[in-house]
Amino acid sequence: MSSPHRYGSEQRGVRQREAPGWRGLRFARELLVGFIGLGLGLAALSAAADSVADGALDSAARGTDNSADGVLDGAAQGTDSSTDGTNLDSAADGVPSPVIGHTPREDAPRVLGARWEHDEAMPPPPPPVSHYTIDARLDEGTQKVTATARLRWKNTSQAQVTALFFHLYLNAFKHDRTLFLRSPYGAGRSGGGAADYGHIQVTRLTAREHPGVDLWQGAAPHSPGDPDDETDIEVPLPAPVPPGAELHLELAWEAKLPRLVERTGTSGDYFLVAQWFPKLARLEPDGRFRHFAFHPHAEFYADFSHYDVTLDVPAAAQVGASGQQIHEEIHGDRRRLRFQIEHAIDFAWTAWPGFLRREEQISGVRVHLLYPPGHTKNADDTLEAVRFGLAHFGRRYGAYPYPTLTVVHPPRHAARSGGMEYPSFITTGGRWSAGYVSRQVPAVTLHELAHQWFYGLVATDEPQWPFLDEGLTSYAELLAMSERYGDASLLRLPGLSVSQRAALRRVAAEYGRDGAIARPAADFSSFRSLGALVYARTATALDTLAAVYGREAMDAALARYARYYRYRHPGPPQLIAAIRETMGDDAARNLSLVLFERGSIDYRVRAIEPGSDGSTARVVVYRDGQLELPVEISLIAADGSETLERWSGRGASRELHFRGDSPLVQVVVDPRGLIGLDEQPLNNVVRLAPHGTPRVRERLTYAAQLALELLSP
Amino acid sequence: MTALTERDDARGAETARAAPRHEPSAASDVGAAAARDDVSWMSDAGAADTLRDAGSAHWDGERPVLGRGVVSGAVSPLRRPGALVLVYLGRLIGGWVIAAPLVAAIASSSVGQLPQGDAALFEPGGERLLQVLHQGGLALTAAARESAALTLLFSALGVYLHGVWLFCLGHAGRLGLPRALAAAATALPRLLGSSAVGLVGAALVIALGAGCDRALAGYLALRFDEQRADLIRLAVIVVWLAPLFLLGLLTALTRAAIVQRGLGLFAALKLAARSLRARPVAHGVARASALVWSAAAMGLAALLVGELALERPGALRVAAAWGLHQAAVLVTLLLHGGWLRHTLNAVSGGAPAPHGHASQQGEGSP
Repeated sequence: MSSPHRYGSEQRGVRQREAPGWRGLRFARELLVGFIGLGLGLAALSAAADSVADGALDSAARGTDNSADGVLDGAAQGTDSSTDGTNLDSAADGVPSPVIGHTPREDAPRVLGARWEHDEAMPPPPPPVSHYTIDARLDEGTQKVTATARLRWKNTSQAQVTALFFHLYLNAFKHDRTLFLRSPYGAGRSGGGAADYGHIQVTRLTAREHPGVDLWQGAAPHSPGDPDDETDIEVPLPAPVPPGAELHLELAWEAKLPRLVERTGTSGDYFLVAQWFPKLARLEPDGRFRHFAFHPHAEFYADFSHYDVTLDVPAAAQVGASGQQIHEEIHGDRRRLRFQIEHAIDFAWTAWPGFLRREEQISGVRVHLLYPPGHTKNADDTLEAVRFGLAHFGRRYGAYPYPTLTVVHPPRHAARSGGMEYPSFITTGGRWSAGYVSRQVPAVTLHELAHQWFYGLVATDEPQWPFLDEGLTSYAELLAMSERYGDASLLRLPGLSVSQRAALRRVAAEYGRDGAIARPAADFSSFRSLGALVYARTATALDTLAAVYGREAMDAALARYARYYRYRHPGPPQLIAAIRETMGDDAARNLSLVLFERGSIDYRVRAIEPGSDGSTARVVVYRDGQLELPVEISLIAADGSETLERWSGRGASRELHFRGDSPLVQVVVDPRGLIGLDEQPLNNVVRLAPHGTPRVRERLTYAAQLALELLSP
Repeated sequence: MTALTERDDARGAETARAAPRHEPSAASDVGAAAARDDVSWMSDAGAADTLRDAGSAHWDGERPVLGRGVVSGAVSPLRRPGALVLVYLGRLIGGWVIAAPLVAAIASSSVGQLPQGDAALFEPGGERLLQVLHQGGLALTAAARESAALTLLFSALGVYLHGVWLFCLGHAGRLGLPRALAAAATALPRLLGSSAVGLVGAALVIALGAGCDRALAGYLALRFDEQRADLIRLAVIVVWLAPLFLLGLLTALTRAAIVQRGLGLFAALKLAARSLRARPVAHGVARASALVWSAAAMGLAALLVGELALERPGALRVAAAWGLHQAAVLVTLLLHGGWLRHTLNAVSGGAPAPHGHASQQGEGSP
């Protein structure tokens, strides 16, 4: 039995905001399940049809003659255009987007080499950019974290640095005028609005190199056109820091935690403490910081650092944190724990007296699972998913490098902290009964675990290119869930199983025309749109390319990409180059089209035109959309014989002339269903004498009879 | 006398004490015994007052009497195959018509063009199923609305067929279909009224229960872990289902009283309430057993149909699925008929008819 107030924390009045209905990283799964629910309920498909209809109109209005060069140029321009700090307008009224900094200028070698498919190729991690040594005390009554830190930072760029940029993410919840809270979309990713305020107040910032100067006196918010937002702070330095030189900073601050919002904050005596310290923005190789205000759609971006964190918490609290616990001592009713993690881009922790704990050594990693009482089944499922996932992802994308992994299953009242990733620390979610009725727990666990690679180790710019972490993670999750659960990776009912792949494809098709995938998070009109495009459409695009050009080639591309760019910060060009290396120019061009140009595809066949002699026929297969994907066309004769034709997909149509011993009765484009991006797969078939629908008739009649049995007396 | 003795056992000593005034003169005359027992029960339960107060045609000024052809021990649904077929056909035609808009919408989505036909919708992974649901879009939504409206219409029609069935089950001897249809038509407004009373009552119970559950959830969350709190809530919800269940019993008994006794709605409600109060366990067990066995039949059908692999081609598979599902529907209807027979016996005062009783009543079609 647990009590939510064992610290005796004070409850304050809350301010309720309208919830947007989308919840964090569980978005994709909710979308999929929701989609199926809608479909099965047949209640909201009109919106889907509208979307498809709009998409069809868009498709008809658009040309299909994009050249490969043009696309690649477009991709490159899309990358470079953001290097000048353009202030991109948000599609949302009244929500100016933050300043989008520049994109990393990592080199994109054309050839990585097959050796990067093996862990032996990976060099040791580069020296960290910064060292955080933090001493923090949690006051459970005031829900504040008071901390001091020593921060050693090195200018790893090729230019001198005249100012530092800190992200104070908790200030997104400081008042109603922040970019985050004034958004009409509520709390964005985590669903529901902020119910309480939170903030970070830095009280001191000094540098050994500049004695006697409180650098924070010169600190100022740096969000052009957005003076009320204090999540992006510029701190001018008294003297430039030359390339290769270090700064030794000391900070003191107080973080007031809000009620749980955006996967951070408090719920009773539960604490999920994330984005809780002044965090240096990433310094790009050209000497410019990548800094931005905290937008509801966006996540984070940082350099690799070493963290040495001492936490002073109530003795009753069960604590989990990024990294390895190396020390623990108890003083009266307080407990001090010290954690260390190297080569990590963030540090988060949790404390709750109600947690039960399990520990297990899995693939050389010490796994700590913190879960609420009553969640035994979820705990079993989580550990099983971790056992599978560590091996699966490690084999594909390189071994998990940290000695520990902490998995947190929040209690129900803190569900808003579920479904989030931090280095060596992930949160999952689900009711205690979830494991009995759905795949939610393994799916969330595998998704967040995959983030250890595509976010934690390949540390892409999440606000700028959300598809690079969420899209690749969704694809990794799709592969893992498919391998683990097959055709029932999403749902299994008597007589009905639904795969995650099928659901992702429909979501990707439904929202495919909303806009480009590859764009900053703040540019998406809604988080629903972001979720569908960034999660579902990216995963479906990669899955389609793998099916069409070869799964081994796609596996090799991502294996090389993930290992080569470990501890680095690649952008889209690096991913596309890796695809090109193993899958060819066509695959890379098609990927660029999907990512940057709303590239789509719809094969269709209208009719079979029988010849006069009965044994010949003419068939025209059309291709709509910019993507040119090779496709198979199956021609089936009346005697059951099948002829398989192949079309490169180039051109708007392909005319086929059939001649056989028996009349042609059926044409099927893409008979194996490889092209998941195909917007309307049902127009891929034509048959001279269509089948009836006896199964549908039987099943629906029976269902109606049962309904009458329920509703009639 | 065996039947009477068993009935007395069930009803308790008080009924047994009241019974001698109406002791049957011939033990072999089960129907007469039942009728007399009916009167004894009326005296015991006070339902006779209800009939008298209501000015029922079944009240002769001193004691309730049964109308012509009305038996106190209703007949088994198997003894009224015509009525059973009528109700089944109503369900079948209703189901067919209700499904028609959705079937048409799905058929228009090119499913028939697929090499496997609509077997593709049952393939593992659900790829084609989701495609159809997605691309069906507006057509499916409109069809679903049509089907929903048709479901309501056929539910109302079901009340009428229910009345016909009740009338048939409650009568001995030959019974022409026109007479049964006419009788049910006469009772239809009252039957619909009883349904409305049931629905309103259920809505109130659910609304009250939802409010209490919300408060309970908050209370439990402070004191128990999630699993225990949910299980306690579940237990409370199950208990809370009891009023709904009782309401269902009351409504069913009311309908039986309307048809069997020709009572007005409120008189029938009063009689049903008295019957329910007198024998709640017997009624509950009868209804619950019918529901449980119905669920078992449907579950078994689902399991067997699941084994048919409908994702594979073959008309025989579809035919087998059809047969299994319709068998489940028939079993469910038979069980429902058994429950109706029980309600008729309850409001007429007779116990469920013993085996062989129907033949002694000279039952015939329908």
